[in-house]
Amino acid sequence: MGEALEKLKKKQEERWKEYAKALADLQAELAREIQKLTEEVRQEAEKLQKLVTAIEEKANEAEKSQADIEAKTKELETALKQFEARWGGLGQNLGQIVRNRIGTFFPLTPVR
Amino acid sequence: MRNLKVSFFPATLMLVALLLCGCAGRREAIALSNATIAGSEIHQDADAIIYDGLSSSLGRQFELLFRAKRAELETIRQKFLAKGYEKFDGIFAVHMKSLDQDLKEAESEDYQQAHQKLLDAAQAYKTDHSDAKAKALHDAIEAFRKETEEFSKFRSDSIRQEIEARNTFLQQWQRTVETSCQDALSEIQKIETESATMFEKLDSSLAKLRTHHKAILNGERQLGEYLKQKTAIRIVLEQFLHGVGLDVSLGSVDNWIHKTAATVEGHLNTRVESLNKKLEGEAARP
Repeated sequence: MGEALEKLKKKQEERWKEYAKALADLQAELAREIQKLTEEVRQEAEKLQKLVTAIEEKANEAEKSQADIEAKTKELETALKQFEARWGGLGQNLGQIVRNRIGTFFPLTPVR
Repeated sequence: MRNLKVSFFPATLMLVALLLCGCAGRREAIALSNATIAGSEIHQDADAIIYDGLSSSLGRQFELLFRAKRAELETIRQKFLAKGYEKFDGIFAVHMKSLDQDLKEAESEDYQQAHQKLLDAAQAYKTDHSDAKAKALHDAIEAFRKETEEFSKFRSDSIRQEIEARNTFLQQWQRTVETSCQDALSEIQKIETESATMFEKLDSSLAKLRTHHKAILNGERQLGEYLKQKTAIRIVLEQFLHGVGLDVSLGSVDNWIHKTAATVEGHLNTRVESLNKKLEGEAARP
């Protein structure tokens, strides 16, 4: 092979470096675009995560307070029933005593 | 007469008891409690709608987001594949042009040298037909043929190598694009899966809030019952009368007392106003 062809071969090999540079440039550009895209998706997901976490915290607080509310509701319900039963029983007993005493002198017609 | 006295006794006792044990604003408190419970029930229904709306709206929003981002990724993939073709083909075209020019120059240089040698040998053989000159001519022809063949091979090899270089880099680029997009797609998929878990959490939290609201409403209802609860004296009186054998509706007596009290209050206010006016008139007289 002549000297001219040797030179030509070296020149050609030198030119091929342009392909490598173009490849590196394209790779960098692609990486930037893909990173931007995935970052956007991640940010949107983080927004949701924050919202869900805030709701979750409140829901957990609510769950804790719920037991307290339910217990106090039950206590009040029981107290009301006991109160009514206690005083109602007393009144009824007194009424029956009076009725029995008075009934001997004044015969009353029972309403019921 | 005695019967009448006996019948009036519990009623009088009840009135005294009501006066002694009645609470200010109890009716208003009961009315407020009823209104609060009704309002809370409305909120319970409204909250359920809002919770459902929030959950489905966020779900839809995310579905659209992921769909849009996948489509965007596909666009990026196609754009960069095309960009690669454009870029490497552009470089290839420039290289081929340069190569063509270089080959022409190299060919003419080498061709000229071999051709000149051939012409010289032919000229020498014309004047001298000796064996030595004949061999020199034969060698020159052979060298020229060899040179031409070698150059032709070099030309084809150079073009083939140029094509191979372009194809190798293009394939490498295609692999890069496909791998990068596949990785990005996996990343999006991962985020989507995590988001789905978050939606499960959201639904669970909203269910907790719903149950909590229900407990509050039950509490409010129980408080309403407390406000409606009769006083001890009233219960004793009611049951006492019941025990005696008289079923008197204390509720209607209650209503009567409140109406009468309101009427008396109204009359008194009117009287006070007219007296005030009279006094003001007398004070203004010289």
